[in-house]
Amino acid sequence: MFRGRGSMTPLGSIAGAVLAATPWRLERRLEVDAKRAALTRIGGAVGAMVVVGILLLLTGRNAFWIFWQALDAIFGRQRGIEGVALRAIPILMTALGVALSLRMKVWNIGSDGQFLMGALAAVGVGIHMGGPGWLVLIVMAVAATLAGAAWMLVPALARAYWDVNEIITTLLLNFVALQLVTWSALGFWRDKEAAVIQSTREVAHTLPGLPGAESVTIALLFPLVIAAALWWVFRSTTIGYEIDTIGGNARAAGFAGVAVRRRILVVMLFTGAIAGLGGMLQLSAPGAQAMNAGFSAQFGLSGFIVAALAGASFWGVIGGGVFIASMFYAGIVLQTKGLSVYIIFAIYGAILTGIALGEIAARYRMVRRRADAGAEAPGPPGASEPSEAWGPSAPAAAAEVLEAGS
Amino acid sequence: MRSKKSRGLFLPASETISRRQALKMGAAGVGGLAVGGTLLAACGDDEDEAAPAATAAPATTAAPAGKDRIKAHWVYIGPPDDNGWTQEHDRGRLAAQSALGDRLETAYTPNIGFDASTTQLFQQLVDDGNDIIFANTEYAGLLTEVTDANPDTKFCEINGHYYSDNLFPFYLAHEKTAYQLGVAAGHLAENGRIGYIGAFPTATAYNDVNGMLLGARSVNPDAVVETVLVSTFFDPQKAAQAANALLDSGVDFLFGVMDEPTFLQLSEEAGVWTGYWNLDFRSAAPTKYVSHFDLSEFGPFYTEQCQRVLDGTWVSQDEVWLLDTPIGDFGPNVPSDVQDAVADVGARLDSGELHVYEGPLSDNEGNERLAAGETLDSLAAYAIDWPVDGVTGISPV
Repeated sequence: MFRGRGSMTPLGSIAGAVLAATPWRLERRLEVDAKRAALTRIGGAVGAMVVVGILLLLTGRNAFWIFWQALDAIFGRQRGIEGVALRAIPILMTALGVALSLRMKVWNIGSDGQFLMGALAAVGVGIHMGGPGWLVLIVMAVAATLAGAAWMLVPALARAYWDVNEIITTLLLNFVALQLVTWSALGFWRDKEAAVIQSTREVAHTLPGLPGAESVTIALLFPLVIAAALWWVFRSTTIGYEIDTIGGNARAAGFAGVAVRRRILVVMLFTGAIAGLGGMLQLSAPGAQAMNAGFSAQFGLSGFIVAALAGASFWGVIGGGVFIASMFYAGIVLQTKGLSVYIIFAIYGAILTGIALGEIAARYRMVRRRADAGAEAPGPPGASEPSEAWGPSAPAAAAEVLEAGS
Repeated sequence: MRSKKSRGLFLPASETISRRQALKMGAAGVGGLAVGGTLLAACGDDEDEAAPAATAAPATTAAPAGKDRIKAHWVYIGPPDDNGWTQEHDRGRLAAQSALGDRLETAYTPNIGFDASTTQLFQQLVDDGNDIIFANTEYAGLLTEVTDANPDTKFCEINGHYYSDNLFPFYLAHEKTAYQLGVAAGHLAENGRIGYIGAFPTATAYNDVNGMLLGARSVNPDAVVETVLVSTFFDPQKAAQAANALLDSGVDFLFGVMDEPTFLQLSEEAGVWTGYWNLDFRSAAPTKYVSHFDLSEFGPFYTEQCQRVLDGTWVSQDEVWLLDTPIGDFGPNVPSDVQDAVADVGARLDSGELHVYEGPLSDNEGNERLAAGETLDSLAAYAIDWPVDGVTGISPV
């Protein structure tokens, strides 16, 4: 499909205006293969780091030293690698839930709440149930999974059967979940004997450690297994295909005989369940055997960013989640080296923006303008995009809407 | 099990560097960050492991193992420019820094919350070779996970409840200060209603509201304290909401444990007397400012703890280390007879003639807590978990 400069996204328009002075123009790609999508994102991140480095140097900070400290802290010692893994587990679990819902173009903004409710259910089981540790842990995991799904039940029913906007319902339930956690920590499950501030009692059991690890448990395997399972479902099963079809065009899927409402309901419950299980897994992180109001450092939000930037690709989620966890871990280390937390937040933001720009850039290419531009428009007009390994994400989806209207 | 030092997973060579080599490289490698950062990191690890060996030798001669120079780190719940709690701690850090000069290297990490990454932060600080680490809020299990695994590093946790050979809690004997402020409030609040903005139902809040109530009732037997808990120490918006609710309901004196002074400004606008926890902040309430809790003892405390680590005489404590918390200077419009009454009460509290908690006292659910003649000292008050009768908005634990 040929697109002139006037039919671009806002960013595209700016780029088009800049390019107007050159013999080049931007052109939308028909298909973005996974490799290119990954490369442009990595390019965006690296570009952002270069910009950040220049800004740091301009403000009199040694950018090389800062980047070196970050890399050394992560890769220079086992503790760094384990720190990243510990940080990645909750982010990956919430991101996988969101990515699953994005395959269907459903926006689960409530993974933080589902994560908290899962953890709360797990703590409730963990501090009350007797018996062998392995059994308690299994019941905790089941309870957390069910609690996460239950927290999604109302938004899922409302979305599936009454078309209530799930962005609002899932978002608002986050605040309810946080209040419940605060109540449990200050009220009914409060740790009174130790007089610990604002926290529930501690769960005595943790998951078994990974061989050779100091503090990482088998919790790390869960997001990997779940990502593999989801990847397989969407690659090889009818259900996965149906979900992708709903994501492409729900009405068409309905005409094709897909039970759209029931699929939406079930998939949304699954996304909640995954985030809820993530809450239970987080309880095995060092120091995190009890819950307080700060138990989730907005893991759901981080997971959402990961899923959106990964374009709902499950392996992309794993890569992106580990990257963001590394970034956050490096941020902790850099704070201890005297770099202001505000500068660190600015660096986070710059890098995420770079990745988002890379995500958009993957969808365009530059072609040399010809005298008879437009005569040889590539591809049929209005070709619909099949769902790709790197499906449309937030900015790209917005771009599509804009362009469809023009 | 977790106490073992970090290993260079990707740098197996670092394990084979002898300590002597490491030290030599450390001495030669002043500007070597760009060249041999990994090696330096490895040196850091080796020196960490070498440190206990170095102290072990003098230990056999029973002499305290002092150090020429130490690193100390402060972990803050808020920003060091919050105009309140964390700012006072940072003033304490700077006081220790200027008292000990070149022998002390200090740094801080602000805005540290309560998720598992805090544990990673403390571990990182240990790995960085800090000799002593101070926390300006209670991090409980998030901290003790690391203190137990790193017995060679010393820790002081404010308002903590965990004791070990390398960690003890410190805090403030602020129930007396609250009592004195309560005496002022008893004089100044015409309708006897005192508002209090708290964070969590912990001993800090109980000692604040109990001290205020008992002090106020020593002047006005009908005084009450109305509490709103906002589940945070630093959230100007929530503090403003709580302050407006209390001011609208008609309190005549407003106090709180917030780390920042938003509620002072709102009190000034409403024409209601107010006071502050952390420092002299009369500029926020020029005409209605009463007084504050003076936290300037942090500096001497931090200096002493660092000095002890330097001297090799640092030992943990088996009870909380309580700092004096005098009441601060009075605002310009506090009548002198009120000032005199507060000063008089302060002297009687210090001499032991007067007690903040003296039976008979009941909690606000009607249970008798102290029989006639029974008293609680500051150590007992540190663990108090009930509000006295006359306090509303907060229940016993």
